[in-house]
Amino acid sequence: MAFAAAPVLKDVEVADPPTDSISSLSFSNQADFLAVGSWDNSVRVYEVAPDGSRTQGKAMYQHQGPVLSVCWSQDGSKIFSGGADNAGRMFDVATGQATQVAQHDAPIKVVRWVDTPGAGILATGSWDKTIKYWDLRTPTAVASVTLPERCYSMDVQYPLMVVGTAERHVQIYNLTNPTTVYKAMQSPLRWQTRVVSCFKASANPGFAIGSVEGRAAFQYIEDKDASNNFSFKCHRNPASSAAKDVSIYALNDISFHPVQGTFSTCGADGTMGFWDKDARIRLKTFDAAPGPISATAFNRTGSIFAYAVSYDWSKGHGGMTPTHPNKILLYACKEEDVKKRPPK
Amino acid sequence: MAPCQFFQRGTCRFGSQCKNEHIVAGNQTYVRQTSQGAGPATDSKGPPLFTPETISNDLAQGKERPSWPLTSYGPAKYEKTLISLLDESPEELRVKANGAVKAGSVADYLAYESSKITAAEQVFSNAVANMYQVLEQATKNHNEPADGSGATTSAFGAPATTSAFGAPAATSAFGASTTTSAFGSSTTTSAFGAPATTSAFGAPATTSAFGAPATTSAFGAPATTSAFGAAPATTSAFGSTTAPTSAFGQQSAFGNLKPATTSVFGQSAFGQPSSSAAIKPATTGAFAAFASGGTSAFGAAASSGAAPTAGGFGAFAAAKPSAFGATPANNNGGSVFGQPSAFGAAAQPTSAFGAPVQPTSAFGVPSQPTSAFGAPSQPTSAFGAPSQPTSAFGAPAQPTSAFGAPAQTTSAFGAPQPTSAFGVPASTPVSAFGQPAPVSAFGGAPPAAPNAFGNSTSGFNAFATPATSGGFGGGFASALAQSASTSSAPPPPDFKNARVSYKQGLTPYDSQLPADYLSKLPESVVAAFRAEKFEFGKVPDWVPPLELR
Repeated sequence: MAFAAAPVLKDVEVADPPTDSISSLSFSNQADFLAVGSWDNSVRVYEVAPDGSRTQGKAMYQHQGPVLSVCWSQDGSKIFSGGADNAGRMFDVATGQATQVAQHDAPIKVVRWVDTPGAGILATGSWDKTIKYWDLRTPTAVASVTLPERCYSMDVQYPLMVVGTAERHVQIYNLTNPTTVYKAMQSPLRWQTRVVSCFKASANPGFAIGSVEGRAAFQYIEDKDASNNFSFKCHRNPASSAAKDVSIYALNDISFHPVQGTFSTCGADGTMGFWDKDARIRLKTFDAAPGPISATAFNRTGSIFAYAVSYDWSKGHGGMTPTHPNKILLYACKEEDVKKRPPK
Repeated sequence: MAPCQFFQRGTCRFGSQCKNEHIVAGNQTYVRQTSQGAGPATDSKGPPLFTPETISNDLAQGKERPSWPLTSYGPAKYEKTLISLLDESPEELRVKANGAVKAGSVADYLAYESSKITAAEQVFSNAVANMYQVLEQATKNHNEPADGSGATTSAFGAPATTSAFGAPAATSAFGASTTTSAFGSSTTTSAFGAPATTSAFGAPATTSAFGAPATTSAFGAPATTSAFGAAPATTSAFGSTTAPTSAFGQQSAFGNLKPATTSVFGQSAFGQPSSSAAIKPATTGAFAAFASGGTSAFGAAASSGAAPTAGGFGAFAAAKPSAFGATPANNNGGSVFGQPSAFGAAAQPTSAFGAPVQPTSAFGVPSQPTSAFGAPSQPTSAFGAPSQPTSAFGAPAQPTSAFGAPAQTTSAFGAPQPTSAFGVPASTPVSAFGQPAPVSAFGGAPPAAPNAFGNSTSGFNAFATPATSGGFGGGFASALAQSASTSSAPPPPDFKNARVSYKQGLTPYDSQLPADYLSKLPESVVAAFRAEKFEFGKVPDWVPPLELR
């Protein structure tokens, strides 16, 4: 893996980043706050200037183990996080208090807020092969769903919830009936699933899925849209598949632009791209960063794109070096980077 | 009616009774996809999108194999996971690493990490090395109804029942079994020695050589899979699916079962059911024995009493003039070595070795039918097996072929009956060389007088005429011949109902007969052919005309 030698980053670095790798990034829907989950057991909250030119650390709270996922409630008043301490925690922005609200038998890999009509539910996906739904007012889960395998990724775009598990299973749920799987399928990709992410700003519901094989696919839920399903290769070096010896990197995260419906991919090779799934073209390629990109996020307007350059364990223990870059960068999106193209 | 969503997915259980609408045309199920110019759209029942080439390419480092080693694999989109139980995400490993750091056991973690990676590489190499089984399993998975569940059979699973090498139930080729693994681990361990109930990869519970948990194979096949992931139960390593399969997967060693008309070698190696030695009537070269119809490889006789017999082994044909110059016709049968045999055996019918006898077999075994080796007895096989009918190898039975294929019972090689020497079940009796009905030299169990070398119904077997026996035929030929049906004392062959296996054009020699052959034959010859059976002493030496066969 050849990263750029001298990190010439024009993007803004977030000040005071975590001390260990970043696992998850999440912007609030209501204000320009960024929550960051890290392997240093902390969740940090930063305020970001609207143009992405400055950041300010605002709050931090701890888990008892590495944090694997963070998300915000719909009203922006609470942050949720889950991690390797098998616990899900809620941080109240107003009071600055963190409380445990969820519990699993194994690390919680993903937390997502489900904005149901009513009070709202926290959904947590774990390596204990379950998804549990939590009503924050009660300490026990309101419902639990058994998965065929460990939960590796999950995303919600109400009422759609998509879960990617080990062994290439993909479970689709309609959250109006949250305990019954709507559709169970095998991944359209051939190797281990890394991330699933629901379409935003899309006329037809669906999700994108990324795997360790440097490939992403998007999958529509409705059968009528099935002909639009598509997969493409990315994060390979060299990019041309005709080359003899191709290094294939894992795709670590997929984030959707909340307004345009275009999306980003990032990989263990340190590159990122913006794509238009309907026009099926790449909108922008970033120069390789000095390390793998472990997480990405768009802010609520899509004007700021945050990405974390930190070690993702893609080379196992040996890849972790003390001097490995560990930072979060903010990119101010230009319109042509993220705007949908007219479909062909 | 609403469109039936299950039908669109291929999983509707109501079928035509479904209350919803089963839309077939137009939109396919969600599985249709047009990836970069890749293959055609398929639904779950369409042809698989993977081939051995795509799978090999996928598994090849530097081609399509991802850098991350601890991953499951499916051969194409939406296909069931083929290589499973390998998945470990980077985060999971890292959590373990963190725990190890806290506990001060980093070395353990490092060992774990590297062993997992090595094991995964091993699994992939095995897959590449056993592409056939992998492909078979993948195709099997593809053809199973989509259930979207986690239970899958994998190509490399530990069998519940059979293993690649036929190990008894619950073992895999690699020795993973409910008890021990190939590598000697303790009970229910995987080949890699994982302790019981864990796979090499630490998968919990009863694993197979590759660490598949209890009911699954290393690759996640649920129970009952063989090392190579053949279908649950009843599969051998070679993937055949029926319980009793031999290593070769077929019943006969040669695997061919063609009833009738083809021999192991295709058209019988030496001859066709119907005679016709290319040669003209009368003796000919060593292998021309295809005299008379219904002959077997060695030119067994035929209903029509081949005139020419011929060739070295043709001698056995038609009980008549044998290659060795036995004077045709008028010979009782003339064994090859018989009377008058090339060796000048006197007698009538005598065997080459001078045993008087009548009919004798070439080897001088007197008697009627005797075997060449002088076993007196009646009907014996050329090889002296006494008894009636016995096979050369002494297999009792009735009628047996030279090689001991009892007419109705077993072949020389003991195949259950009726089979040919090579174990081909001879329902139609197949000759050793695949002759159709009546007989095969090697065990066809022809109802009508099989003879060691596959003779014909009319009892002109290679070794002798029925009843009279010629050449070697004496021995079993007649033994066989006699036993048109199988009984301990075979009744005389029933010529009327004798099964003739001749078919027009079956023998290449047929076409070599002149078109007006029939008219060329002497009157008496024609009459003889037309008769219900030949008169001894008057069996024509001519190639039977096509029309009269």
